[in-house]
Amino acid sequence: MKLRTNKDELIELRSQNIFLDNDFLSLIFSDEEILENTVNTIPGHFYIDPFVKFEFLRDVFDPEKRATKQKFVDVFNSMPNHPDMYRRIHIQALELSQIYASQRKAKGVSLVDLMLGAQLVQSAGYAYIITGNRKDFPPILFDLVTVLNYEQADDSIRAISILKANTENYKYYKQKLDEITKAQMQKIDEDLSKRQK
Amino acid sequence: MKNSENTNKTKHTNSSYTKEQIEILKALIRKGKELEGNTEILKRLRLNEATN
Repeated sequence: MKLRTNKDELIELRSQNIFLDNDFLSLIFSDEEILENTVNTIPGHFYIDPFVKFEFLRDVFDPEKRATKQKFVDVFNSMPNHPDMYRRIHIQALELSQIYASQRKAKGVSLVDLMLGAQLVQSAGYAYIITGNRKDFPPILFDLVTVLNYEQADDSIRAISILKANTENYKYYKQKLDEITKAQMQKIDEDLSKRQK
Repeated sequence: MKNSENTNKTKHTNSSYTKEQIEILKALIRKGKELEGNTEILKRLRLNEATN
């Protein structure tokens, strides 16, 4: 299974932290050649978020398979699992969901992808994500660095995106969201005071 | 075995991972594939137990 990508665009990833989305982690667990081509092509360090690890390991019926998957995921670096860090990410993930909703983007995005998106915004400048679900990390907030094209056994091509957070766009949409929220809060306060009279 | 703990071992091309780590990952993928069949058998067995 061949991997085609733009090598020049990969230079930016050298020695950077690259988060793996669960769909990509599952893809590399499915095929030795994909795994080997991927780790030999991408120059950064792969990191697994605790939520991604949870998704990868959940609902596995066979104990031997569960142990095999656990050992596979343990080869990669784990992201810190600290409550203070997650408190900040949780707040930012909620903001992301509100920005998406206000812009009608990433409808139905999962909690894990919101948390990963927030993690990317907080680690902007040195963190990237590899995902097969570009729509869950919309272009209004996440820039495309490069695309990995995997030629599959059935001759089809599977496109995997490498993305990074665009902090300028995040600040812009966050400011717009805050303005709208503030105006709505004032309106509700006015309405409540009228009802109390 | 994290990649950061293996900086002194033989690197495989320009990867952040050592050849040894890549071989471990590949062996785990092979084992995962072998177990796929087992999982189906276990599921069927459990289903039979539930229906009997």
